[in-house]
This record gives sequence, structure tokens and C-alpha cells, in this order.
Amino acid sequence: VDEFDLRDFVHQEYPRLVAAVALITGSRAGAEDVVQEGLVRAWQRSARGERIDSLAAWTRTVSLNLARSGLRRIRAELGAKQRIAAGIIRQGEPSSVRVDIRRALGRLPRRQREAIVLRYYLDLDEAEVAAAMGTPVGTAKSLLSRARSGLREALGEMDLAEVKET
Amino acid sequence: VTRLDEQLRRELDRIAEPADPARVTEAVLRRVGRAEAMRRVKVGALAVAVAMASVAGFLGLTRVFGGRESRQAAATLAANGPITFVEHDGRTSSISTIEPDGSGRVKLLASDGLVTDLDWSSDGRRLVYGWGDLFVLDLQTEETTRLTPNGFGVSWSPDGSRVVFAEDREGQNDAIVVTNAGGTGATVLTEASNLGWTDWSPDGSRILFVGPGPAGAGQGWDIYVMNADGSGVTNLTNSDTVDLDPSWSPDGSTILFRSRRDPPPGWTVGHAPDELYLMAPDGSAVRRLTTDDARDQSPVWSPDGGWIAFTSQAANGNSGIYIMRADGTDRTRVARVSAMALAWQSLPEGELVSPLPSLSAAPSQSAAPEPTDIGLGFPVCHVSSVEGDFGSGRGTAYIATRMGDTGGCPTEGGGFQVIAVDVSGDGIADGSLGPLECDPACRPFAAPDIDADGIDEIAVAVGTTGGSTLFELYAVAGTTIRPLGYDCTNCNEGVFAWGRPGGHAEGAYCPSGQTPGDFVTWWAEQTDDGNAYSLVEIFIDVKGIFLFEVDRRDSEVPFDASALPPGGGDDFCGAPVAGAAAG
Repeated sequence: VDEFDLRDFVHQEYPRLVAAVALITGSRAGAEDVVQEGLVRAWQRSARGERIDSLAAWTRTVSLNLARSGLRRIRAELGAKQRIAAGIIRQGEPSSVRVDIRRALGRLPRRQREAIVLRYYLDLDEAEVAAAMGTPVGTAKSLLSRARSGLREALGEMDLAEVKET
Repeated sequence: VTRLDEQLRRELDRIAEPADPARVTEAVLRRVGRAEAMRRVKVGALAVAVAMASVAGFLGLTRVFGGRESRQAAATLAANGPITFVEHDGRTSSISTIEPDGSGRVKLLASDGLVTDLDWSSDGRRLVYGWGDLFVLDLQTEETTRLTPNGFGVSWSPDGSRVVFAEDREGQNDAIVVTNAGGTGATVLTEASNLGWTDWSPDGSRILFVGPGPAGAGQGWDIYVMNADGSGVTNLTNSDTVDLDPSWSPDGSTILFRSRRDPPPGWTVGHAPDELYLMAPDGSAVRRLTTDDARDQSPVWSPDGGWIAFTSQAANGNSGIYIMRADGTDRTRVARVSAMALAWQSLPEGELVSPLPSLSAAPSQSAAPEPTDIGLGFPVCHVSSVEGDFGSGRGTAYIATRMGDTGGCPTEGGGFQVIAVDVSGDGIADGSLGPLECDPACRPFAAPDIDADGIDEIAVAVGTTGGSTLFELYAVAGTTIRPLGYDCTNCNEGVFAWGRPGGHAEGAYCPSGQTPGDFVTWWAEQTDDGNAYSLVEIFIDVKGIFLFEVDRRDSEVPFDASALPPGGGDDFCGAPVAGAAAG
């Protein structure tokens, strides 16, 4: 990992990875913190001679680990559900849609939420979701399936036409 | 792709807020710098503590820090680690370290028999030593392993993966042999009579060694170079005298060696006192560094290449370890000892670098409180403590702030904060570790026996968040203090929270009965309808210094403090909670 790789990652991957971690944890500042920390560790590992084949996949996994554990977990996860459910309603945005999907996400158990965000926001396939979460593919599939069931109900009531126009 | 899939993608895209990448690269690089600085200091302090603990059978070594403040040492000198040297009393060899300014002399270990070879791996973590029997001491694992029974003049490869030495093979020629760091996979690079004194080049491509001089030149030795695969053996000095102890400068541009080529009046070549010389890697441009008519031997470079340390024995018997700049100036005696071998350990692993720019940026000075001495080898301020049993009845764990380098007390947490433990209860610290990462300052929190092994752990409050106190755990083994952390790749250190700030509650407790784990850390938050707590409990096993998450339970309990697990109040696993972090 050199500065070129780092800059490339920051422009190509960083914005969406931070957004994904924020969706999972409910904390935007915490998300920036863990993704940057993931990059710091990638840099250090690489400086010590370890090979990192995919900076994107590596940083994704480490960032999720960090968000899940220790100090950052505590800081980020406390109140995450409330923050996610409450949403951040800004002027000029369709508040009902945002609140609905946020509330639905926020009600999911943590691991299901993680799987859904990785699958549908970061667009990872099931194997990549499993790798990022450190679980067998079967577990990832099961988490996704349960999460989809939970979300189907919440989203089924939403007006798709409104979504398309705004 | 189902309608639901499509809908999820669109909805998540709508609510997600991609981050702004501007200036992130710079921020990450700054964090790398700071993390490296912290890691170096932590590893350095830990490595020294481990080394001391592993050899404490010989000595009751107690200090991680100390002796670093050197008023006379130049800044460039202070940037290098301690010098390691061997003394031999006719029966036992003792290996000690001393700061290049002559302070902080510490005996590392004793070894039966002679030790004439010493070399630190370039990361400063492993020391190879011995005479014939060569051993490797690994500061991290605290293990000593035997490398070979017949090795002399040993040297590490620059990456620390291999060692090269001269092997004494009975009835045959000597050989220059490379093995891996564990002593296996031996490969003979070259053979001749009377081989010794190897040194691997900093770029790993070449190896220096000493071999016999040209035929017919008596008992002479010359300095040779070869490629690291044993090819291209070349005699660099081709003299009819004695050239020994070759050593590459850290940048690989110069070779340092000792020679008897310029005998003082009355001496014969070959028996004259050794003097120190430099030459280019091709053997040209030989330059004499010392002219003292004393035996100047065992020359080694400082890790930064700015200095040379050597032993010197004068005709009147006065002996010592000396240092001088690489140009031969500023010669200074470090210690008045008769040393047999030298090695200069690289920082960061050798000692605490002080001051660290990122940590000691203009600490504010105050007249009070007065610095005190708790036996750390340097004055401290803001001493707070908690009592516990750390191995022999009542002891005390301290948190203290190291006094500023310019004198006076920094604010609490404004200088290095150190954790120290008095195991024996005599009021003098027996072991210490630092610096701690505190935000803004650390305080002792409690001393519970979490893993029920009869020795209390130390909980240290390291900061606050949202009204809760954050704490870390430390274990005491002998006089060594080590942090407890998760044994999972890239997980965070073990940091736990404690407190009941309104809608949230957090704590930790030691379960009894059938519950898994040595202790449980938990947090709870009020549910949306306000009628319940959503509770998360993490069950943790403590094994040595590692924490293992063995179970996790999510549940809902009534919104009532009495429904929450224990912990979060004033008792942590049976130990009184002593205080909260400064905040």
C-alpha cells in the first residue's frame, strides 16, 4: 500500500464505505473514524511487509471489525438504533421515505443490518458479504434472507411512485 | 432481481450519505505517523519490560524507564538505543545494557561460560549471543532457543529471517553457514581454515567475514566479502597483518574494522594493539580512526550510523566502553568496564524516546504539586493509586504522570502517564509500563481478580464518553504489567464502559454459576417505546493477556435499573471502584 493506492481508495471507495458503516452503526463520525483507522492499519501492515491483495476488501473487513468491537463499538453503537430510527431529516427531502427505511433498518438485529447494507448498498455478492462479516456463506445467506423478510413488510407499504419522482 | 432487491438498493442509496474524500488521505497519513509513534513507544516499553521479566531470575530488575535524561548527550546520540555489552568473570558471562550517555546500566542476563558474540536483530527484538553455543533471546515471546552448538561471529540478516556465522567443524575446514532464525535449514556458503566475524550487509546482498591472510603471511587474518549466496568471495584487505571485526555502516557505504597494521614503535606487526579503521566496500580508501596505542576492539556502529562504540584497553590496564563520532571525534568513555563484546540495539525497541513530539508538545508547567519518587527512576507527579493483591499480599497499583523533561509537573495527562505496581507492599514500584493512552488523563479504577487466579487485575480509567467511564484492564505477572486485549486480528484493544447516564447504562461484572466467561461487559439502551432496555451482554474469557469473546446475548429487560445486570455502580467483580477518569 503506497500513497497512490491510498489516494485511489479514498476517491473510489472511501465515500461509500463510510456511508455503509454509518448506516450500520448510526454514527457518521464513528464511521469516518473506523474507516480511517482501517486504512492506518492497512498502511502499517503493508509497511511491515505483509501483502494486502485488495485494499478495498481488507479495509472493509477491518472497518467492520472495528465498528463491532471495543471502544469504537461502544462509542458508535450506543444509541445507534435510536439515531438510525430517528434519521436525519433535512430540508427539502422526502422525510417519510427516509424515516421509513431508516426505521426498518434500525429495527433489524445488528448482523442482519450489516448484511443488508453490504449486499444492497455496497453491492457485494453473497460470498463477499460473508468474507466482510467473517462468517460462512451459508450464514450470510441466512442473515440476508431473514433481513429481507423483515424489510419486505416495512417497504411494501411505501409508495414507489413517490420514490421515483423525488 | 426481485422487486424487493431493486427497492432496497434504491432506498439505501437515497438515505446513505457518502463521505467527502477531500483531505482524507492527508488525515490518514497523519494518523499513521501518530500511530507509529505510539506503537514504537509501547513496543519499546513492553519489550524492555518483557526482557527484564524473562531474565529477572538473575536480578530483580524493575524499571522500564529511567536514565534516559542525559544532559550531556547530543541529540543524535540520544536517538540511538542502549549499548549491550558482555563482562566475563572467568566462569560466568553477564550481558548488560547501558545508555550511550553512560546512564541507566541494566544487567540483562547471565550465561554460564564465555559470550564473545552479540548481535541485535535490526528491529531490536532478538538478541543472538554466545560462544560456540549460540542462543537467540526473543523479547516478545520471552523464549531463548539454541541456534547452534558450534557458531562464532554471528550476524543477523537485515530482515531478521536468517543468521550467518562461522562454524567450527572438527577435523575439517571452518565454514560460513546461513541458517534460518530458528537454527534449521543450514547452508554452507564457503569453507576455509580460521573463519569468523561475519556481518551481513544492510541491503542483504553481501556478507563480510574474516578469513586467513595470503599464504605465507603467518598468522594473519584478512577481511573478505562475498555475495549472500556464497559466490564472489573477495579478499578486501590482502594484508600481512591482522584485520578483524568488520562491520557495515547502516547505510552500507563504509566498512569499520580493527587492525594491527600500524604498530607503534617497539611493537611488531601482528601483535600490535588494535586500532580502528574505515574503508570503502571495495577495500579502498582506508582511513585510521584511533591512534591511542590501546587495544581498541569490538567496534559497532550506532543504529543511525552517526557514532561508533568500541572497547578499549590501555597499556596501564584501564579498560572501558567508548563512543566516538563516525569521523573519530568526540571520543567519550561510556563506562569503566572490561567488556568483551558489544552490540548497539536499535530504538524504538530499546528504550523510550523522550520527548516524543506528538506527546510532549509544550506540556503546561505548574508550581504544584511537587514531583515525588515512587521508585521508577524518575520523578513523577499526580500519583493516584488503588490497592490490591498483585502476587504477595497487599500491594498498590499507581498511575503517575512523568515529570517534564525541563522540570516541574505537567498537568495530569499532560505528560506521559505510567502505570506502576508495588507488588511487595513496601511503597516502591516493582514494575511499570507506559506511556498509557489517556483522554485526557488516566486514573486507577479498580483492582478486581477477574480471572479468579488469586492475583488482582488492574482496571485503569482511560477517559469518558457520554457520561460513562471507559476503562482498560492490565494483568500483573511477577513484576511485569501487560495490557489485556482481544486476540482477534484487527480488533480493538479491550476497552470497556461503566456508568448509568440516563437512557443508556453500561457496566461489567464477574458472573457465577453456569454462565460462560470470566466477566461480562454489557450495555443497555432504552427502547423506542420507552418501556424496556435493549440489553447486549458480551461474555469474555481471560486467558493470559488475551480476551476471548465466548458468547453474546441480546435481550430486552424492563426499563428498571434493578432489571439490569450488576456492574456500573461502585463494585466491579468484588473490588471497590476507586475513581473515575479525569474529565
